[in-house]
Amino acid sequence: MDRRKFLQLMGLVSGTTLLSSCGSERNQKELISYLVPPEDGVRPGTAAWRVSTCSECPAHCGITVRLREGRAVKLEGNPDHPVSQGALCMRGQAALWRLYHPQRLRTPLLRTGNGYRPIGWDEAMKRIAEAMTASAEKSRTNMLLTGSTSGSLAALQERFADTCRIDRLPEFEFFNHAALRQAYQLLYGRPRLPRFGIEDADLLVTVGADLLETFISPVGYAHQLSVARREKGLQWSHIEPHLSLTGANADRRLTIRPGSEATLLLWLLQTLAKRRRYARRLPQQILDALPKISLARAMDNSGLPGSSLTELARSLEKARHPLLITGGVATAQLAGGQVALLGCLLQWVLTVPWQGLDFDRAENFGRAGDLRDLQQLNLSLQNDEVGVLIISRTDPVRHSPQKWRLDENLRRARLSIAMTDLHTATSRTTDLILPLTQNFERWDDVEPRIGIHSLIQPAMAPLHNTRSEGDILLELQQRLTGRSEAATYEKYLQQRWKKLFSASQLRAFINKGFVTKGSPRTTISLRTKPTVAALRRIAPSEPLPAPATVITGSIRSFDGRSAVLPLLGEIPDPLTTVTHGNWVTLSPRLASQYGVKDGEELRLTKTDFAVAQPARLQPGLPDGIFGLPIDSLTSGPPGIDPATGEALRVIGGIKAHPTGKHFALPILSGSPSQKGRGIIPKPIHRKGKHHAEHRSLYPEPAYRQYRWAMAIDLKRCIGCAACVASCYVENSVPVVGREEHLKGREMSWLRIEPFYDDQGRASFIPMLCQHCDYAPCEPVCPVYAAYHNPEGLNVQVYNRCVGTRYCSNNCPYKVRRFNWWQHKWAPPLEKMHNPDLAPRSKGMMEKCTFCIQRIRTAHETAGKEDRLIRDGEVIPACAQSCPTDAITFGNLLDPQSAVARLIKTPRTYRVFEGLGTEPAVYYLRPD
Amino acid sequence: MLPEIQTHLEQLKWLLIILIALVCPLLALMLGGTTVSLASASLKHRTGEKETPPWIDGLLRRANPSVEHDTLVVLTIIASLLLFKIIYRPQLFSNAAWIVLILLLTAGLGLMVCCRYRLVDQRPLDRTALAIGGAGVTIVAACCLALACTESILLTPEFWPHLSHLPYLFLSWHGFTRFAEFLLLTCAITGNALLFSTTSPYPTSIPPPAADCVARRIGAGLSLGALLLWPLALGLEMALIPSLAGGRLLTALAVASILLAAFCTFLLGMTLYGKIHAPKTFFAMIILLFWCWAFMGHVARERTLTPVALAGLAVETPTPALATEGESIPPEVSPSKAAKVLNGKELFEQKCSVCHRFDQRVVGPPLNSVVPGYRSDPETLTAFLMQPVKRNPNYPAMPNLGLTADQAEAIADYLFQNAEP
Amino acid sequence: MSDKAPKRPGTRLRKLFCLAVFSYFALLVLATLSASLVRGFFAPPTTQPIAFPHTTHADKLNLACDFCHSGVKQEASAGVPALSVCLSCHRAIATDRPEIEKLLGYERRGEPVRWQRLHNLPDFIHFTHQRHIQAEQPCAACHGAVERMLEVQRVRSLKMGWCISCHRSRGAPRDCATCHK
Repeated sequence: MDRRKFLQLMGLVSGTTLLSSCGSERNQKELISYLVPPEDGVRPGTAAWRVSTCSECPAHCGITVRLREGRAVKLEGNPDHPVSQGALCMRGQAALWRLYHPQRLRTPLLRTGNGYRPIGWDEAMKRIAEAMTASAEKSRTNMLLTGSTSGSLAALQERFADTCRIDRLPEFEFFNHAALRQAYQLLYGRPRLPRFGIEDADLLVTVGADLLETFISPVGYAHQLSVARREKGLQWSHIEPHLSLTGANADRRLTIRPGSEATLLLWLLQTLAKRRRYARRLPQQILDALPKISLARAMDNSGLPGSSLTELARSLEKARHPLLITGGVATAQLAGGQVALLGCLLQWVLTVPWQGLDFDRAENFGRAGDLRDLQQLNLSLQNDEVGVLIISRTDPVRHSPQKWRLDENLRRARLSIAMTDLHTATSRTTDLILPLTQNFERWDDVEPRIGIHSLIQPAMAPLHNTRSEGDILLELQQRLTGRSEAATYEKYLQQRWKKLFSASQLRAFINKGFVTKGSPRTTISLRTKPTVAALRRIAPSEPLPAPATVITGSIRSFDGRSAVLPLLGEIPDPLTTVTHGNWVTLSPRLASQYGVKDGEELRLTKTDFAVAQPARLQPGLPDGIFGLPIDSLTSGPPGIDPATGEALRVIGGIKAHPTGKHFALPILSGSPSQKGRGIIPKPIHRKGKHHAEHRSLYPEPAYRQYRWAMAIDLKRCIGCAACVASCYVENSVPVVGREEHLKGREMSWLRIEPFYDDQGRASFIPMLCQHCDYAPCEPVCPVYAAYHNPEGLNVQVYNRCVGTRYCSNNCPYKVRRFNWWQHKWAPPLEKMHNPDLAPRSKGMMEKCTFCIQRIRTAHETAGKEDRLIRDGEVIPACAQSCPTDAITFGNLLDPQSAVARLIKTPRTYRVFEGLGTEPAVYYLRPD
Repeated sequence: MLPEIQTHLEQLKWLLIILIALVCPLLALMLGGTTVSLASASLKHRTGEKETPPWIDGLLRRANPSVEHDTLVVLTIIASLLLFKIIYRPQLFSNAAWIVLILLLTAGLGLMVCCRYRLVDQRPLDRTALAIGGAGVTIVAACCLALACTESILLTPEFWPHLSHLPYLFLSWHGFTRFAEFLLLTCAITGNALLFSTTSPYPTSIPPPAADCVARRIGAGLSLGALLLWPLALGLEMALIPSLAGGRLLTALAVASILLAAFCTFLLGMTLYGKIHAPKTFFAMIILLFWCWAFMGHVARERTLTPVALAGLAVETPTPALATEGESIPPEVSPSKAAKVLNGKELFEQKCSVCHRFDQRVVGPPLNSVVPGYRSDPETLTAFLMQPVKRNPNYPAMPNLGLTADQAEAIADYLFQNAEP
Repeated sequence: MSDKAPKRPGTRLRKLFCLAVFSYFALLVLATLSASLVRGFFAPPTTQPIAFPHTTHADKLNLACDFCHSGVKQEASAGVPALSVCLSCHRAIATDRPEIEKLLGYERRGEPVRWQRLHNLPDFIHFTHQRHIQAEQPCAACHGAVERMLEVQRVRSLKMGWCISCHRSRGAPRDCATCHK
């Protein structure tokens, strides 16, 4: 009697198991007919794709929305889109959580005392219109403050402001790159952020600019970097005082003392200007205006050894296409203006000659302001000059220094209105809240870069009683002036698109999701006079006194706006692997100085700045630096740089002391180091790689047509965790929350493990089910729930699983996840479920399936056409969203497939090869 | 003759159920009595004639049944088997298989009957006679199991087409449970016979000696055990029965038979404690239980074997490729199949003929009046077929049938060929 | 019998035994009833909102199944026809019959028809009609002779064992992942 028969018999004896195995046919009792058959493309059980544009941050990556039965279930990158080239970051993936967020505002709300009263749109509009008319009479100014806006909405705002006599304030973004824009204005008369030609560079030096996290267009940059590294052999040095994900991914990370960027850049400029190659680039007046600085001073100031400095200068001189980018924390400090100016001047010397800066495709920050504009608004509020204040899609209260008391001052406006989809710090203080439709519920277009028009199209009907900003403005215009640009925003867009595009362009716009309008390339020239004047004002400053705090933008929440999305709380921060909660990072040595461990609260203070957060030890972080993620900043930025209007994000002379409180931090990594296990093999691990001949009692797996496998190039992986988010959404992996994480019950099927070496250098490895040929999980399953399928997949049959967890115990890769609970999806989140996947309930083991639902779909398409699945036809969710194309998936039995070719490279290895599990996931060593 | 018989299927089915109700208790009585007698006889044989404990003798006498019904039983069994074969799906079991079954059963019964005649004559059984009796009992029991499984496979007509490749489908858990139930009923009725047997060698007026008491106790134990196990077996059957076969009536019958078993247990208890002595009531109750059981089988069959359920099985499906080793992998992908030649007539009949005739108005206009108008411009007709628009206010709009260009062309060609001006 | 003193405990034991047997039977009656409940034996027979006669359409008119269930050849789900499909003919045909009047009523109210589902698979199963039609399986193989059913019934168990037996005998894939999501 074999095991199967035995179990059948057992089942028969107990009888009850038979009853319970009847399967769930509940909730499908009815077949509801369509009234009219749906238009082409929307068929029950079949996915449709719509192109659109992501609006989680001002970068506006192109996306495709996967639709099932009339609801959006997955976002993926639009492969042709010029901004993102087919990738999508974790925030973009999580945009669906914004759409289906249970706490989304569903109707206009009017503040009454401490609470809110839901009101109708009509009443809301009437109130606004009346207040606007009334305040105009009382010589108060009406104002419109929005987040980054472009495309048709910007045009409509302008018309609205003109006709309704409302002041359209400069757009407010926390990461407004004001210092850079001012520098470009000074040097070339163009207050814009150019497109950086990273893909053509062979040497990249970034000073503070966190290209991979929050700097302008992170997904696009990650893709460009990957292309340049592959095709141009790009060498990348990153200079910063702390440790960011960007720094961890650079080929060389130079740690400088905070506040010494200007000195370093000055020295570089001075040194390079002397070299023959660049001697003619700068006019003599400018050279004369440059303050003199010695190597010794530069070394002393920056804390870098002289050899590093000279080597940096030499490499910049030797490179054919050097590119230098300043930004991020480097320009968000008191000397930020100088850093930006010097950086941009260095670009003129190094990059402009080979046309590495493209101002004709400039990023659309044209109307962006800075915190000084916000300060101005605050003053007007204090002086009771503001009538109606409409704040749309931005959160000035959160992002202004607390001492301004903007939240209180907002009440002094006659009527303050917040337009938003989820509550923000601002909307909690305004009189009226207007709920906005989400990206996936409306027509719109954006212009992320000049000349690139990107489409936003609805994937579904609005879930709630919400309106688009365009519709609100049009109705207000109608009420105030008696006529509006168009009856609805959709009509307005149609009119505008007809004017803007030719018929063929319009077709491409709707089908491909974007139109690139060509413009003749203009050349830029250096304006000597203002440059000289500005350079004369530069005085090399001393570095900030240690210890310093660096407030870092977060790859998970950008400037904090995405922190409301529960999915992003669930995905570990790539460097610290902390999930839910806030923290302050410090180096292990500094921690031992203060006597704190992970989770022990540390209070950082300086005059009018105080924050207390649990400590997280961060290997690789320089001593004397406290890294403070922007989410952990509870009270707005500590101040602004009056010269540039950027928020201060580097503050020196911090006093720190442990409070003695302890918080449990959900840290998902077991250990920061590999402990010699060779998960990412170093040269020492590569010696003596021999493993015993495989012996097994089980039959050898034999594959006929397919053996699915994955190759992950660790050289390309930047640890951005876009794949993790994509996996979560594609596979409806439950979000379990902090308490479960603390118990080690996270559910992620795919995780990124950061490992630090002794020098604090980080390397990342995505870890997922390895789909081993001799999977240790399979033979231990008593019910055949885990088994090997004829295509090499290690399949988990969920409804067969009885939850013994033997498989998880036997898995050397720790990639199997157990459902401890029947995980709840607060409505309407359940609409996001992928219908191609079985729901998992309490007591079931689940894990990565190589997106078996996609393989199945490909099988069906191929079956219809009577052929084999082609290479590249199946792209798992993780590979699709990877900005650097680090993940390749395919059929090993097809010798022409990309994955089969990749695994033949000498860098190939498999994790824990010595165990003889023969995984199907091949990693390519980083070196 | 067969088709003629099948026109009276309903009556035949009732006849069958009556036969089964008749034959089952008799068969059980025969089987149980013979088994007990054989067992005690073999015990006697082993211990030797002299040293036999008196209770074995008692048992032998009590179990020693009458043989007057045996011929009736054999005849009824054969008649009902033939009926079974006629009523239910002549194609399901080949005639040969059925004849073999009948022959086996007859042979088994014959052996049993021989043995029983010897027992009635109170002749001592030698080793050969014992073997013959044992073989008979075994054969009959095996045939009963086969019949129970047959009855069970009838309830899943969807499996019939696969029986030839997958003979093990025949042995179903449900069939085994039904057989187990039959055995339980056999035990109950045999126990009853042992308990109340009137063939006791002692007059009923005087208290039976200890030897007879042992036999009575064994009978009571058999009955009690069977009655207590009965609901369990029934519950199992209800859990295992194919969902198509189940229903309210079946559940009601199951519950009724459990209650009957409970009543029987009550009677048995009363008898044991000497409160009452009602052999006839008890016997009648057990017969009722038998009828319930047989009727349940009938109800299940009737719910499953409706003509519509069976009709799908008559559909000609392409002959299945016999499974080979590792057949879970589909065979090598063949070069794409040649596109099927589109047949305009076929398409017309499938898609259009519901609403259109050539010469008369049905839902749409008579085609002879509209098609000739397109003769000069066939492409317009093709386009119309693929994407119809309302033309004539006197008729409803034609629906979009989702035709491909090739299909529309084929239909248009057919229309032009057949429409008369 | 004559001695009453030792009989007492016997009586109690007897009562206890009777109680045990009684509760045993009661329990099993309950168990059988609940088992039937679980198996849906007690569920009321499904009645469709409109008595649609497949006999008329599929048998008398000889309409092909995919005339109305149009998705069957291309997609996973065969699809229940949209109301407009019914009305494309029934705006003109037999409009005076009560069942057609019901249909027209649905259209007037703009309300979809909520048909009772008979052939439903558990939600962890991926089944596609298209592949089975492509493998030249007749509809009747799984649905029975629908054209002979005045009211459609489910005549196959649609259980895994049944699927497997057919897959096995035809050499169709038997990998769990073929059907299990």
